[in-house]
Amino acid sequence: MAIETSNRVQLTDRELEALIDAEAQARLGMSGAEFKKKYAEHKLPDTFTVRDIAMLVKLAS
Amino acid sequence: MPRRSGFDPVLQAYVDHLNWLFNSTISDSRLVLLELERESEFRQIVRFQDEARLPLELAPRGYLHFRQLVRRAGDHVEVSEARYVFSESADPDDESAWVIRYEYDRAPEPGKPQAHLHVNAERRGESIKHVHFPTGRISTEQLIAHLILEHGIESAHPDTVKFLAESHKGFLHRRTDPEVEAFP
Repeated sequence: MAIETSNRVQLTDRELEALIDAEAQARLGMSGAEFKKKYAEHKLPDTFTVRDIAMLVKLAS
Repeated sequence: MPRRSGFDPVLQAYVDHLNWLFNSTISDSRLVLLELERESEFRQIVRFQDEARLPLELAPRGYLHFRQLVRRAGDHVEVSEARYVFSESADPDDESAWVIRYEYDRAPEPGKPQAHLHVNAERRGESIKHVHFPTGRISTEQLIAHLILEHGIESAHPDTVKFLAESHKGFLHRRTDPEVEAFP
């Protein structure tokens, strides 16, 4: 479970992966792993949704 | 794995500042710093509750989907990316509900303006929502003022424009983003 304070939420890598997976599934109908693979290979369209989920992926960099 | 205790006062002060701006004016919703417990370069500023990213709630209606990707750079906060969507829906992907989308990329891809606006509008029956209207970088204060003055969003502050204008001066003083070509 993520720790939530008034101004700060810390996630484990696993929790971040689950969040990416949930958003990719709900918004694009693909798994988080598939999203990350296709995003890295520049195989996703340049849309707001893709860029928005990609902001989560960048948290792990 | 133990939780990292890396409290960053500069980043926290920046989130506090954004919450002060929003909570003094158009929304009671709160932004947080979303980060990994291990060391990582970037954090995201977003509303986050019940393990999901949420929009800021506005009155009398509407939502602001607010995201910033930030990192600590020396003694200041650097905004790497910003995406703001004003929508009539809590769903950021609801194509029938969003009104404007603003995007800022500190290092834009070739061919894209560093900062640009999308408008969910039509021209002669054809959507122009994919058009990148080039803009300068706008401050959070300008975004809030725009929502109040142009979209009828209610503000709790008794002298909103003066309040935002004063705070905007701080944005102009603090910003560190480099000049980019006008025609990338």
